[in-house]
Amino acid sequence: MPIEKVDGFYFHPTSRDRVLAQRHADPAKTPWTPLEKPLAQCKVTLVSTAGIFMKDDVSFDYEREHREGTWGDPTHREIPKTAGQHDVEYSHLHVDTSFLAEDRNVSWPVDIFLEFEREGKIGALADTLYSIMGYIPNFNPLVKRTAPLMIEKMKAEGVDAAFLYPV
Amino acid sequence: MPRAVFVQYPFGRQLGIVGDYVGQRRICEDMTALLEEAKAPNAYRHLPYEWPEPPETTKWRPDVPPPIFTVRQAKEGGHNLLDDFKDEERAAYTDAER
Repeated sequence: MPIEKVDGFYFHPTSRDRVLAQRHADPAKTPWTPLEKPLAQCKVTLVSTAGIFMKDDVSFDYEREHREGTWGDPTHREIPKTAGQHDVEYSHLHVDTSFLAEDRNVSWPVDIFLEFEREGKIGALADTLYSIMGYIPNFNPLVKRTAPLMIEKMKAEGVDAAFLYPV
Repeated sequence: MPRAVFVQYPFGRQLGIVGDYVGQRRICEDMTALLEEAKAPNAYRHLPYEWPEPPETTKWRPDVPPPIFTVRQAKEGGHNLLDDFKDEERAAYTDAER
């Protein structure tokens, strides 16, 4: 029986009450930017929440998260699109990242978008891809500081659209 | 989120199982299609694909529980994460700024 409506708590039913108790987004405030041209002419980028960072870059701050379990690093890391499967760490502490470490396309589809680029399905994959570490209980610094920094870089690279891959 | 596709797959493997490139690509194609087809905000699409394992036996949790797990265990009953925020910036965050 094909699924008609996704149950977001299917794999984590014990989180249902906790999540539903949080303030919901107001659909009337959802932002909107129309796609101005065909995807085949667009430069796109990818954003993951898997805590991905280059092996020669600075890790997300897990020392502080271990000291303060209710805190999560709200910063981001940039990953060149040329980075390979094993050039990065997949570091999110709240999900099993071993599958990503084995095959990044389970949630970080760089190879698929490089194929889209070769096929002309997208205009180009941007040189820079992005990751945050998705456990950010206080998302204010993410909204106020991190997102604008990512957007600034995306605009500088001429990005038309970003695909978000939460884990 | 202005546009989103939802899929009933486990945390950490939202595009499919390891090695299933065809299935992974199919969901990326669903995403690119929605980007081109959506004409207004709150454009959401639920994908019909079913995960091949029952949720009880699907591995998605890390072998070592995250720090918040210990925090929750230390407190009696449930608690609101928002109560634990120490970041003073949160106090200045209002609906008007969203």
